[in-house]
Amino acid sequence: MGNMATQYADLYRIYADSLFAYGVGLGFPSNRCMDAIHDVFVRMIVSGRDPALIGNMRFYLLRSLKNRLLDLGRQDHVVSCSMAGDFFHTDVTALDEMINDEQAGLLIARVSRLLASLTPNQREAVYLRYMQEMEYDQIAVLLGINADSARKLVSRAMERLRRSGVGFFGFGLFVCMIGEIH
Amino acid sequence: MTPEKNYGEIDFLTDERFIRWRLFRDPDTEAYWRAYAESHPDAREALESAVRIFSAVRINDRHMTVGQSALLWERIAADARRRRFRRFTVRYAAAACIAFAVVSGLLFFPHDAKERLSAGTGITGVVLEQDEIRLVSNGGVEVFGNNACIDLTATKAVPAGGQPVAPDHAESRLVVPYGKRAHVVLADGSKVWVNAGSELVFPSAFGDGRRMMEVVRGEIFIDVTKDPHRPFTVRTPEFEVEVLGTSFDVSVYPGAGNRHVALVEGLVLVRNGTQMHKLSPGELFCADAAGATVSRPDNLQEYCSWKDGILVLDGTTVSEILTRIGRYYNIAFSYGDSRLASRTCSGKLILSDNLDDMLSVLCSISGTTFRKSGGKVFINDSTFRHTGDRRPDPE
Repeated sequence: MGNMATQYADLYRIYADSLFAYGVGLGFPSNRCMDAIHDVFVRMIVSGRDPALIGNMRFYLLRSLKNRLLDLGRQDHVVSCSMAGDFFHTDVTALDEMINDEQAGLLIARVSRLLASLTPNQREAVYLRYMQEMEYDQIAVLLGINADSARKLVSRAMERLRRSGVGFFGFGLFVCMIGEIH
Repeated sequence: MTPEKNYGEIDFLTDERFIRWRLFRDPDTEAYWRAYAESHPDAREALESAVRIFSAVRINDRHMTVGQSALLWERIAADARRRRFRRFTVRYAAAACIAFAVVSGLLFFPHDAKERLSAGTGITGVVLEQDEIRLVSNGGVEVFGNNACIDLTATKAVPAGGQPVAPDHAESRLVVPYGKRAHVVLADGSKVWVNAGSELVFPSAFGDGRRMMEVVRGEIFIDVTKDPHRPFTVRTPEFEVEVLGTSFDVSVYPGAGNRHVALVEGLVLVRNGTQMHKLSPGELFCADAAGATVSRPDNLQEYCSWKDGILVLDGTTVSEILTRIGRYYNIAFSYGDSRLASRTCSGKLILSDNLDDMLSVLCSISGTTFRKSGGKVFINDSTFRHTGDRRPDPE
C-alpha cells in the first residue's frame, strides 16, 4: 500500500506539469487545469488501480485530463472553444542552456510561423507528437478521430507547408500573403 | 569547429523539411533523413548537432509554480485519503490523525458599501471595485495578482507573472481583499489557503519555541507541519486555536453573527477568553452573544470546501450563500424586504472564475433568476406570482 502511495507521488512529479501545459494549450484557465489534474489523480488513487497495469501512463493521463476538462466545462455550463475542437493555443520557446540566442530566435520564429499556418486540430496533433511523444493512434483517440484521419491530418499539415514553397522564405511569404488576404 | 560544420548546422536548422521532420516525426520524413545521413556521411555530424539544437524548442512549456504544484498534490493526497477513509473506515481509523477545524466568526460588518440599494422585492448586488493582494513588511509593500502563491520556505514569494521577491524581515502582514484568494507556505512548511477578505500576520521565520500567527480578519485553512516541540497557535481577535501539528481552518470575518470552529479529525483546543474547549472530530464550536456551545452538525464539509473552490450547501439559506459569494467575488448584496433570502438550498456550487456561470447555477438550484446591469446583480424569484404585497422589480 505504502509503495503504491509513493508510486502515485512519483507519477504526479513526472506528469503534473505536462498535464497542466496540455490543459492550458486547450484554452482552459490555469485554476481549471489544476482542478482537473486534481480530479484525475484522486480518481486514479481512490480506484486503487495499480499504476503498473496502465499501459501508457502519459497517454492514459492526457486522455483522462481532456475528458475531465470537458466534463467540468459541461457541468458549469461553460462552453469552451476547445470543446468544438476549434482552438489549440501554441506558444513556442527554447531552452536557453541548449542553444545560443541567435539560433533560438531563428527557430522560435520559424516554428511559430509554421504552427500559425495550421488548423487548431493540426496544431494539437503536432503538440501531442512533439512535446508529449504520442503515437498517431493515440493522437487519434485524443482528438476523437480515427487513426487514419490522424495520419491524414498530419500529412495534410505537411502538404500545406510543402505547397507553400521550396524553402522557408517562400513559406514566410505564403504566411504573409494569407495575412494580407484575411 | 570548422566553418563547414557551422554552416551545415544552420543549413539544417533553416531547412523547412528538417523542421517538419523534427516536429512531425512521421515515417516518410524519418526515411528521408535516414537515407540522407547514409548518403552524406560528411554532413552527419552537423545533422546530429542540428537535431540536438532543435530539441531545445519547446511548445507550450507551461508549468505550475513550485508552491502551486506542492499545494495541488497536498489537495490530491488529502482528498484521496478522505475518500479512501470513507471506504475503509475501520482499517484507517487508527492511522488517521489529521485535524480539520473551521472557525468562523463575524465580528464586524462585511462590506462598507452595504447600504440598501433598492426597495424592491428582489436581491440586489453591487460589484465592488477590485483591490490588489498586498504583502506589507519592513521591505515595503509587494502587490500580487489573484491566487498568488507566497512561499516562505524558499524565502521568496512569486507574484503572478512577476519576479520573485525576498521578504527579509521578521514579520509580514498579508492583505487579501474581497474577490481575491492567495496561498502561503510558511517558513516551517505549513500550508495556508487564504480566503477572500482576509488579513494575516506571520513571521518570515519561526523560532525554537511556540509557532504563532495571527488572523486579524477573514478565513484561512491551514495544514500545519507536525513538530511536537513547537506547538502552533493561530490567534484571532476573539480567541486562539491551539494545535499539535494538524490541519484546520480559521475564519473571523468582520460582521454580525456567530463564530465557530468545526473539527473534522484530530484534536484542537479553542481558548475563548477564560474558557477552554477541547473539540473531538465532527464537533462544531459556536460562540455568539448568548455564549459558547458545542454541537455535532451533519455536514462539516460545508465549512471548509471553500478552499477547493466549492461551496457545499446543506439546507443553507440564500442570504448565507450570498454572504459567502459576496466575499469571493467582491459583491455587496442587499436584500430589500425579500423573502428569497430565507429560502434554503442544498447541493454543490462551484466557485468558477466566471461570475455569470456561478450565478446561473445558483439560480437554477434556488429557483431564482438573475440579471446583470451596470455593475449590479438583481436576483428575483423565478416562480414569482404577483400578489398584492409585492412590488415589481425597480429596474
